[in-house]
Amino acid sequence: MPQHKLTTQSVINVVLICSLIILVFFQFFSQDTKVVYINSAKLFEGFAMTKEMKRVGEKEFNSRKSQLDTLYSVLQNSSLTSIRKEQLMQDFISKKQEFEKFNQSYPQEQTSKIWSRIKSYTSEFSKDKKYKLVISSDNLQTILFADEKIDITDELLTYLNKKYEGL
Amino acid sequence: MKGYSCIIFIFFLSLLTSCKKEENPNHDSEIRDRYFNLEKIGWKSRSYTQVVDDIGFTAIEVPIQYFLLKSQGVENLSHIDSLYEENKRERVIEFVFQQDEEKDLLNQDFTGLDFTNSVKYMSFGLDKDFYVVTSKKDTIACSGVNFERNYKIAPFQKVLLFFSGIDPNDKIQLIYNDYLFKKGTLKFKFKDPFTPIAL
Repeated sequence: MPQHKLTTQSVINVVLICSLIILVFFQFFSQDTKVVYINSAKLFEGFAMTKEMKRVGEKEFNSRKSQLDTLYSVLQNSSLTSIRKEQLMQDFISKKQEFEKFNQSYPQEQTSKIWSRIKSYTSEFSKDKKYKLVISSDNLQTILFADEKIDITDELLTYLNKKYEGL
Repeated sequence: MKGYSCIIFIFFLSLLTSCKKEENPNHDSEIRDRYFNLEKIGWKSRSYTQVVDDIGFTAIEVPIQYFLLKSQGVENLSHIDSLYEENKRERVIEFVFQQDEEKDLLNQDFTGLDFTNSVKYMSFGLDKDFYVVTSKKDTIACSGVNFERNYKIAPFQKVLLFFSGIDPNDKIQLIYNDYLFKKGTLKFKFKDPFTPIAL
């Protein structure tokens, strides 16, 4: 009888130990597989800061362009004296250079600011969600295959836009 | 006839005095309760932090009663409440800049300006970089900035921002166009730290 009791107890112990091992095993692997990926082009285009910076840039571009156009039309006036024309031409050249410089520098500066912001917010998001690695890809050459289940582009985009609005 | 007029006059006088509004003896305790609740929630609990790269930007909406109590004391609460009523359309926001490794943010590495010019910008130029958007989408410009210099003792830089003409019950969004550290536009919304329960 005591032998039988011992056997039942050992079976229960073995079952408990096994379930504990399985639990630890699953816990360990579920943490390790927290690798996700995002479509960076979609993320960048959909981010509210990108849209806002684009709007600001376009407004500035149009304002500078209209200034140049006005100056150009004044320069076409034949009644201007040669001294005045020379002054206006110098002004036109300097404004045109500034305009070209703006056209080159603005997108570069804003893109770097936007990516820097995306990185900061993504870091907070990943800590919250306990992701170990977030892979960014905008073409199919970097990632040859990724399961759709680990594509978190939309989820991250919603988070980024909320965070940007200060919500 | 003269006697009648006298009686009517006395009656009229008593009618006038009897209509005088009774003063509320519990007025002070009502204000005390209100301020106690504000203190219990936390004077500086309505805050929001945005982290960009290695700099943390924290905006804290501080009730103006906090500053009134600080400067006037707690002895005469009716006076403080009347001051609050006079100034309730004002908003004060505490704004804190802090670097991750507690480095001095006014150094040239962060601002691109020398230390003196960074201090000047913080003191006199920062108000142009802030504005508030109300729930009705009105834009309110910052009316003033007070830079609290700490002479490198504290590992952060703190400014107080002032805004006028905002409904006291309105929810606001603070917008900061960061030209000093060149991090772009940062937005802050202030949530209530408690959930009101409908009883």
